[in-house]
Amino acid sequence: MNTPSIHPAGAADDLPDDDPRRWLSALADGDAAAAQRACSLWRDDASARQAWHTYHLIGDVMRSDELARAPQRDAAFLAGLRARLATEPVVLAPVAPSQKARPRQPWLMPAAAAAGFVVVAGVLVLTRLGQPGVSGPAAVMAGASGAGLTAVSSAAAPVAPARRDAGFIRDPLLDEYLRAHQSAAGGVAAAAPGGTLRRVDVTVPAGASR
Amino acid sequence: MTEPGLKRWLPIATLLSCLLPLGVGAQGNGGALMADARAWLSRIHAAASSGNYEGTMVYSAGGALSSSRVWHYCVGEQVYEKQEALDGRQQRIVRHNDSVHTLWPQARVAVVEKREALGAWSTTPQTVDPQALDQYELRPDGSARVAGREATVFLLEPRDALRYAQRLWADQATGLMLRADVIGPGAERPVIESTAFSEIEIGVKPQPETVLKAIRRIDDYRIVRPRQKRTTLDAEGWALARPVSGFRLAGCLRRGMETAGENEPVLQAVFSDGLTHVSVFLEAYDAQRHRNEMQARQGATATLTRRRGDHWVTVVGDVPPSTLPLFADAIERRR
Repeated sequence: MNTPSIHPAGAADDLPDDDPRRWLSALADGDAAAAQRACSLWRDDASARQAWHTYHLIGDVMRSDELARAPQRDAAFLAGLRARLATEPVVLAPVAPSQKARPRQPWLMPAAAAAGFVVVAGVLVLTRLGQPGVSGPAAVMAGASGAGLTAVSSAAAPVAPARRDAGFIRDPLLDEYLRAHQSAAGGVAAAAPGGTLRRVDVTVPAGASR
Repeated sequence: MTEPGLKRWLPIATLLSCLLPLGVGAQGNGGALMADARAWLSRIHAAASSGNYEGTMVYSAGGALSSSRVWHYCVGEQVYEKQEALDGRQQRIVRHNDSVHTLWPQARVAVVEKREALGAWSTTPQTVDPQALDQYELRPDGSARVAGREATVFLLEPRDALRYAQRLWADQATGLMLRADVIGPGAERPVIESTAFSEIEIGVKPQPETVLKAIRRIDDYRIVRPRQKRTTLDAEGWALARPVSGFRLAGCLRRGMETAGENEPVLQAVFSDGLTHVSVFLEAYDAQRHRNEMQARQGATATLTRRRGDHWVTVVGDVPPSTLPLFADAIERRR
């Protein structure tokens, strides 16, 4: 930000009308209508992120000296967070075709860590795989689950509405396999835990929405 | 209605709970223990199929929780069973002997299956349980209280890494399984999946009518009848080239899959080690539907999809994910 202004609102006035940073400035002032434009700007433009940071730094300084810390601290935090995210094991590993040796590590990680997002991220991936209408890579990283969620729901809607029950997005195709598996398992050995204590957690077959 | 039932059961329950500690305590030699283990598994099985009980069953895995209401009545040779999901979408499963209705009231869809195709897979406890004990060591693990009842706890410890350990809580009075945990490997022994009755009444008066009522009025439902036909791997031109240790082929079924298109039957081969199961689904490869090979896991159930030439293989099993490739790699086209 080359025109450090005391107040973001001032910055907006100083900026030419066509400067996209106006959206950031407006958002910083609490204008919700600017949110979408500002977010896409924030995503695409590194200098916009810089500007956004500067706006807030200025605001912080105005509010309290305590907040006026060196920006390196935030940068270090962000870098650290990114590094941690990057080393986070990916629980669902789509297998490249014809590649025999897959990394097994994701499965060996402590279940305590895995359990958190195995279910949600896993089901997300399955959904994308199963919907014929959905193109694009199957790999949905845990960190990107938010975006994936929306994409899946909207893309799948015309075929079979993607269900979201208790945090699950289920894939009708794989559901059917799971259902077939469960019903067979119950039939083979009723004494097994699956017999009496079998969960009831299946969704409608895809055809049901017809 | 439950009062007389309980009273009727009380003497038997008391008697059994007195006798049980003797049986569990008989650890003098391995033979006696093994016999005891088998007796317990048979007892669990018998209680599950012949008992009259109503309860609420809670399933949890990976932080997700769901519960369902269960009714199970036995009148002579007739078995009536109903499960109703209490969370999320409405769903009911109604079973009368070999006829299974799965109902989705909101979507007004009913899947009607004859269990006879599957029923033939079902084996008696005498043949199933010894096989399981080849793969698992059954150890008494003390006693505990589950759903307000005293339970005897068992640990089924696998003899190799191909399967999960399981901890079972069996009702001391009746043998009915009250809780089952699937336990992962490693020093921490994490519980991967847990299913338990949170409350249960055992020995209730059978009320088959309440079960059958659920499938009386389904005229306005879209009825789906999956086509199923028993077959053999051999007859379908497939073979498991390298057997997976401890798993035996329990049955093979050619079934129509609702989502796979009406004319594309899928071959399902079920392998069992006596306690847990692995299903191998085989179908023609379809570039439209079969986009990516992947592995997934939900609770203790792992899934693997893989392309094998002109075919698409889906392996679903309540086993560690590393067991699934053994099946996917070993299944081979013979003609």
